[in-house]
Amino acid sequence: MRNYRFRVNPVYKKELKQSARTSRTAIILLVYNGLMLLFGLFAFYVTFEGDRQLSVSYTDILSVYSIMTGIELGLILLITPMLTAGTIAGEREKQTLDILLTTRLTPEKLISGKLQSALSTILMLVFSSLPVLALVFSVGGVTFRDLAQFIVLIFITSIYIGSMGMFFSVLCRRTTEATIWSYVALAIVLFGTTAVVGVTGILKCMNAEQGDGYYGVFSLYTYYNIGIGPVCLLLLINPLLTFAAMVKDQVGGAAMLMGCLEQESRLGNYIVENWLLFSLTLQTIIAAVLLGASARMLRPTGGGRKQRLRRLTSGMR
Amino acid sequence: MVKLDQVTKYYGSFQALNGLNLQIDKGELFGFVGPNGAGKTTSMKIMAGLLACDGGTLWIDGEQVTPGSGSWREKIGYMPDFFGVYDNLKVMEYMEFYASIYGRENDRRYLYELLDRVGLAERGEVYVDHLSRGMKQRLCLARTLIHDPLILILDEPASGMEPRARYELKEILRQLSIDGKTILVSSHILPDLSEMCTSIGIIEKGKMVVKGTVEEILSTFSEANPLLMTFTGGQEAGMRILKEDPRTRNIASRGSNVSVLFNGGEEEEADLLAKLIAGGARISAYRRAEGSLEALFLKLTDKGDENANA
Ligand SMILES: Nc1ncnc2c1ncn2[C@@H]1O[C@H](COP(=O)(O)OP(=O)(O)OP(=O)(O)O)[C@@H](O)[C@H]1O
Ligand SMILES: [Mg+2]
Repeated sequence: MRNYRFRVNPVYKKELKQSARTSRTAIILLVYNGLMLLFGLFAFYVTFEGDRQLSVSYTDILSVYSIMTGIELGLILLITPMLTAGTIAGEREKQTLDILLTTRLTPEKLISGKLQSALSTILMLVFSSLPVLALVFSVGGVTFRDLAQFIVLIFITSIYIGSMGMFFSVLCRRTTEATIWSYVALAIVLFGTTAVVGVTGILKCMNAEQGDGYYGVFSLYTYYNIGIGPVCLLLLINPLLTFAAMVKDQVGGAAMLMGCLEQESRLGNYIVENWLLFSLTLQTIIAAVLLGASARMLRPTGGGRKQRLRRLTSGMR
Repeated sequence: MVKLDQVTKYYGSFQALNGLNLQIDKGELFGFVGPNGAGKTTSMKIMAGLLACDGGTLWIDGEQVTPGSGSWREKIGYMPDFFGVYDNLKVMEYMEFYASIYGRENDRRYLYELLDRVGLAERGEVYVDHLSRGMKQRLCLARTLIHDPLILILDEPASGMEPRARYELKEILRQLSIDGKTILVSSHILPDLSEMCTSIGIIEKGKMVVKGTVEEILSTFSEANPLLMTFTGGQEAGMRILKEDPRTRNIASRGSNVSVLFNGGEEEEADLLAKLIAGGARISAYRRAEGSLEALFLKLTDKGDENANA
């Protein structure tokens, strides 16, 4: 009789056991919360000391909330590639991968076990920093629903960035190589997309007729309506914009940025108003594709990177 | 049980397997020999489902199979030539991890029995990365047994083991063979293989050169063995005659004992002896060396190399 009871992924279970015996997790936890606390105090200081008033204004609290969650997101973005890029490449380096691939364990199970263990570390970081975030709640102004939404955002973002790490971990031979490529991918997603949109704007400005009243590049920095166009959709894959959309929805922050996006993209306000939903959905789809590709490349056909890539592109059977 | 038919494998433009044929019947303990780079590891990886071949067909347990498909891998236990173990995991936990892939992690008695089989029963609580190399290899062997596979594919399981550990490994493999497992084992240590294997295949440059039982192979190729003779006098004259004879190679002497590779059958051997005696040599012993797989191996895998060391 087969046992249909829910079973914990064996790889995940093993990773838990191993990491419980190292100080790595503890160190990450310590550094992470230390930084959160440091930045948190700094945010409070800048916001409240800056104007030397005893009264605490409502918008100040909201800006502290935005800063704190923003920092949390930034830290998670930085940590995720590190947690995922070594997963498969590390097994390859330690020469344990071949054994795994000859067992009953499917590449999908292997990928999901590794991802689960990275995500559980991230969730642990997020939950461990809740007390620091609670500083904001102590003063009020933000609901628990907002916080839950933020945690969902962090969760999806780390799956998204983590799937890139996994992808390179399967593709590359060495952990270092995979780590570098993961950070390159992260930089492209964060800054590359922004740069493309920015450069499009600059080009539009320069091509604008003088009669339009624009003066070359400089008009970009004013909130004039350049009309960058649908290339702005590229920003849907940028977690920073996703976060900006959430902050705007929740506490009305980043309103100028989102307003600008609405105006420049010329897409009508439907997409921009639902930016959070659209970008999270798109990022989830990208993550699913990357994870599927990773599993496919792990199918036992062996060979080097070229063969793994060929395996990916040839005959999607 | 396992059959490879005209299997080819390319690494880029380099041909590692060149129409390899191999058949291993149920219950056989098959020894796989060949020089470095002959393609043993490559063909074993193909059989374990880790590599796809570029041509030819593969049968496992009577079924034609392709890598990455089906459940035929369940029938195989594979031990790679080089492998690592996980940090921060104890021996028993290492076994439990692989067992959990098959849903057997709670069957501690079973895992203990497997460890006992390879002599590691006492080491369950030791961290795997603290084990010696030979112990790691035995642990890996125990691991390949977890899902009770029909076929074991072991790539140089004895490499780096001291003689006693090798002897124990031989005993373990023999026992597994008696228990009904079909075993394919590669090695560079020929005496070990000739002692325990029911049959042997010699592979070179991606092709099977010869295969059969050890006795069959040795009797077919007995001419590969050197002639041994002991001089009691006239050794110098004898050596000259040996050197002048076109059918001899690799003449080596130690004191009055001389060994020489001689290309010829029994009649030619007798002729040579007559010639030596006529030339003034006094000989107290004269015979073909006992079949040695080593000599055969060197002869078969070193064609045309006159400096081969017999
Ligand atoms: N991943 C690879 N890429 C390119 N060439 C390879 C690769 N793996 C093996 N080869 C080549 O294929 C040939 C066969 O290698 P293989 O490892 O199968 O030999 P082997 O018989 O196991 O040798 P050894 O006795 O040293 O273990 C060698 O010439 C080797 O250089
Ligand atoms: Mg090898």
